[in-house]
Amino acid sequence: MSGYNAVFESLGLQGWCSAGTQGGPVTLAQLLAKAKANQAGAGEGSLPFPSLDALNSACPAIPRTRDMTSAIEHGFLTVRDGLKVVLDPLTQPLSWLLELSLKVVDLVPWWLMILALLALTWWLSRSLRITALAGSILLALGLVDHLHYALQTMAIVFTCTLICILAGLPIGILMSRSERFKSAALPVLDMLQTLPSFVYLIPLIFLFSVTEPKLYGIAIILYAIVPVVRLTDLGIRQVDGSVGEAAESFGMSGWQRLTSVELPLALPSIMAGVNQTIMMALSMVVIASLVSAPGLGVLVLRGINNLELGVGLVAGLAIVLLAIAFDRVTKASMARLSAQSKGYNP
Amino acid sequence: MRLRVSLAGAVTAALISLNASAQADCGQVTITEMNWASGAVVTAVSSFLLEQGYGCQVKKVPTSTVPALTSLAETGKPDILTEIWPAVADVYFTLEKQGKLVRVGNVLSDGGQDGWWVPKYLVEQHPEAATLAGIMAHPEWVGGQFNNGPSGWGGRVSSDNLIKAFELEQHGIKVFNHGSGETLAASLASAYESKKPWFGYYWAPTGLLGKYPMVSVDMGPLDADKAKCNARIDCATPGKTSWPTATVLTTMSRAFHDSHPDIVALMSKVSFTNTQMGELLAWQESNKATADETAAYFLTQHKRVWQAWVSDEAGRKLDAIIQ
Amino acid sequence: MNQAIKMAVRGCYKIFGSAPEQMVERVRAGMSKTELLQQHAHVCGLRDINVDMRAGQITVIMGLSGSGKSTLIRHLNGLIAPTAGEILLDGVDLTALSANELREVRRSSISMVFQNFALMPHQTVLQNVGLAKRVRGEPAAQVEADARRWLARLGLAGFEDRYPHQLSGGMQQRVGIARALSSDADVLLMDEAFSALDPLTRKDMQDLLLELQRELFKTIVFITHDLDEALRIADHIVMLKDGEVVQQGDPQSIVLHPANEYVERFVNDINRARLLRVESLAQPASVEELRRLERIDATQTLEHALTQAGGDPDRAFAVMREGHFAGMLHLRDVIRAMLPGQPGKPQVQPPAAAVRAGLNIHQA
Repeated sequence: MSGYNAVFESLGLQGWCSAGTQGGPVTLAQLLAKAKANQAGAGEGSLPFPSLDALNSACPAIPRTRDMTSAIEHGFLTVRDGLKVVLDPLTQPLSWLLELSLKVVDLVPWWLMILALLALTWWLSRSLRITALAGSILLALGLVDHLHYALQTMAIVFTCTLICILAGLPIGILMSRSERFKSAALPVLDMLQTLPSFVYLIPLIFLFSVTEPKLYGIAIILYAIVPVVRLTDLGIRQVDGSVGEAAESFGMSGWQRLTSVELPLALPSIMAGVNQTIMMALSMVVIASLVSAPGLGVLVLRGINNLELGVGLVAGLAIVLLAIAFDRVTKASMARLSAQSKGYNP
Repeated sequence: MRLRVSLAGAVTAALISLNASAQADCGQVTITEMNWASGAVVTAVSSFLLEQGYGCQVKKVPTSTVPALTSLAETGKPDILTEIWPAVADVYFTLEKQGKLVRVGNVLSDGGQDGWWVPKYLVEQHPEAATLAGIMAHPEWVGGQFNNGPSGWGGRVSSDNLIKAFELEQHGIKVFNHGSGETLAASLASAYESKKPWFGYYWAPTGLLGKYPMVSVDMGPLDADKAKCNARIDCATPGKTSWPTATVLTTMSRAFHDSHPDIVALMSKVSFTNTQMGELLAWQESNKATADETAAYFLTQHKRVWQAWVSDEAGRKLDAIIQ
Repeated sequence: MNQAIKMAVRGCYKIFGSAPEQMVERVRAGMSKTELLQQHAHVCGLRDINVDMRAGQITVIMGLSGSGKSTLIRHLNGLIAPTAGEILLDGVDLTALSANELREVRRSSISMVFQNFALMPHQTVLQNVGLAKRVRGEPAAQVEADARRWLARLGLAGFEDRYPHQLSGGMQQRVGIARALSSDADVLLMDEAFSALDPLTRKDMQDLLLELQRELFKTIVFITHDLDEALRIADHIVMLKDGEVVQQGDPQSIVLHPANEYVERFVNDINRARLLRVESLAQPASVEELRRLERIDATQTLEHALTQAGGDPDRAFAVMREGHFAGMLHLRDVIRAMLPGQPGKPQVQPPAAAVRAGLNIHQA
């Protein structure tokens, strides 16, 4: 009972109110309050915030907040089949790529894998120090039987980063071209970075089978794509206005301007975005394992769930070591790229 | 200066009198609130009875099995541990032997039901899917996949060993290890909504099994020794057996048990059959209710049940509140 | 002197704001810039601009900041589109072209040099110079050969593989000019091209431009706020204030007959002695009188005349042009011409003979 009963009575809506469903669940606090109210004699003066639940207790025809949340749920389940038809083929390549990369990790012998990774590190960074760092990290991980997990994690992170770049670059370019698109895209990017992944993961489980790699692939990509998009947009916008003007006044088409002026000049910014994307993909490793991704996240989860401190810590440290290795390598290749333009500084 | 002295004096006196009045009743009680549905309901009901019937100041501690037991071992708190599944945590028996905790009662009188489950509609389609032999002969009935629980779940260890013992993978059934309980539940719900095949580990009493009628797969006779070995991660010889019912206990710290006999009397009687708990959880699911609301529902709708638990004095106090 | 009109701006208006087309009529009717801003929150950038740029000539558009000169030059290659009016290149209205056609025009017919050089920082000097031909899609070998040629012409041989940031300001602008010239466009737009350089380098660059122009006969449109620069290089000067043309004409007439106080203030500061040439002060005289006098070339500056006269105010000279008598120069006229005058009143009587003979400022 609250002051709202009086409100509805005075508005003459009693009939409409009681025509609705009967009252919903009562809390223990309300039970107590009712008891106290009966003893004291009245309690009808109270006027809590006019939320849906408070109004509902006075007038059952008004839906409660939980009715709204279950309406959303039912809405989603209704559109699910239609969504599935559209989204399945779109996201299937992601599943294939992830499965392929994980299979490579499974099949290639460890020494070949390590050699290939060291070769890649050298090619990117041309730095003996960094290659040595990467090598020692890989060996350390191998020593404590974390190598296979680490390789799986790397496979997932690389694949997802690749897709993030392929998808994020065009979006960033589009954002730099159109203010309208940018103002529409910004809230989406904010949401992707802050909305807890599990919130949109559970509906995704209803859409895709939980055994499909694309589930955690999508989770990682949606989180990690944001830096690439933002920094591509920023990098292109920061290209010197007069350079862009020069390009235009010599008759460059939009595509020519993009490929020969804007992208090369925005490259340092884009590379910084890629670096951040890799870091964020790594940070999603544990959540990805919550939806059955293989790799170091599985070990961390095991440590958390079984209260095995050591397991969790060591696996967590392994993730940190991977992060350090990736960061150094990408920063070195960024430095090389800008050195190639002979000291051009963003 | 005089004002300050008298103010301090007044505050101290007030604190002392508060303390005194508290000690006249049962005092501060810490009780666990387990992070699954039935545990939360049990705690909500118990807390209410303790507060309103016995005048205790109840502090709920959200936790789960292993952390709660670890805490008790190290600090002697919390006072009351509800819904302990000893099968999950070996450390329980050690603590009991050491006398650090005391078993007070079976809060789920039928015991917890672990099992390998298939949807009811699947059994209606293929009656033989109700047995493990039938499923292994026709793995396509269950989509060739077994949904295993996440690590950290007690049943996961037993499941892993049973998978080895029954040679599930060699019979064309791929084992998918879910990363979390949420994805396991979601996969079940998702399959049920589209009437697709599903086969995997789950346990009762839960809202999920209350909502979606499932059948526990017949895995043959129960062999208690084999089951005990299967429950350990280092079991050298996993054996074929069906699932034993799991005892689910209410326990207390030794200190609390010895100093509060009236509360021991209450908590030893707090008990739900699986039917009762299942009904409560199903109600909770369909009304999107919180544990608190479910407890209110239980207390108002099943007066006869809980009135048998409480002392006469407490019963009178509670009667006045719950109509 | 009447070369063909290469580019023309006819009735150009540019209004900035949310609904510029609707404001044009008001501006045409005579609404002032302040009124437009206060009442309608629109900015009038250009008002009724009419300028002809003749082929082979250097047209200088002059004005202070905010006069609209940068806006105007960007109309010429379509970087900015006018709210009303026409921009004609060889008779074709650029505002009516499609995006592709406009791009073609930019690739082949108009090129631009920028105040802050606007070189591609990530490309070598050679690659920068080859930009226009590369955009057109010409074969790489030819592009490179061409670029080398232009660099050599601009005195930058040996710097092909350097990057812009390794060059001084003057050298960078020479790369900019080489880039613009390598497109073989007829029209060259120069947006305050030398304003970012130090005074000595600026003078060198002006000399370089004049030298190139003697060879190439491009139609150059040059923007500056520096009257000395304008007077040095211009064939035709357009003075802008607040988006309107306040005076246009050849440099000498701007200096000698400023149209209003604004122009007057501008021209006050220039060194007339070094700018004005003897021929603008030459008076008609008989051949017998002229034969008795010391000779001075028509294109010499007043300063030179003063020097030649030794500072004697009673001297007179015979003005020669290409070996023929062109008039008589009195030193008193020279002295008077160096004084700042009143707007609208000619300081010195325009020599009737000079007018009749159609004297040019400098033979181009």
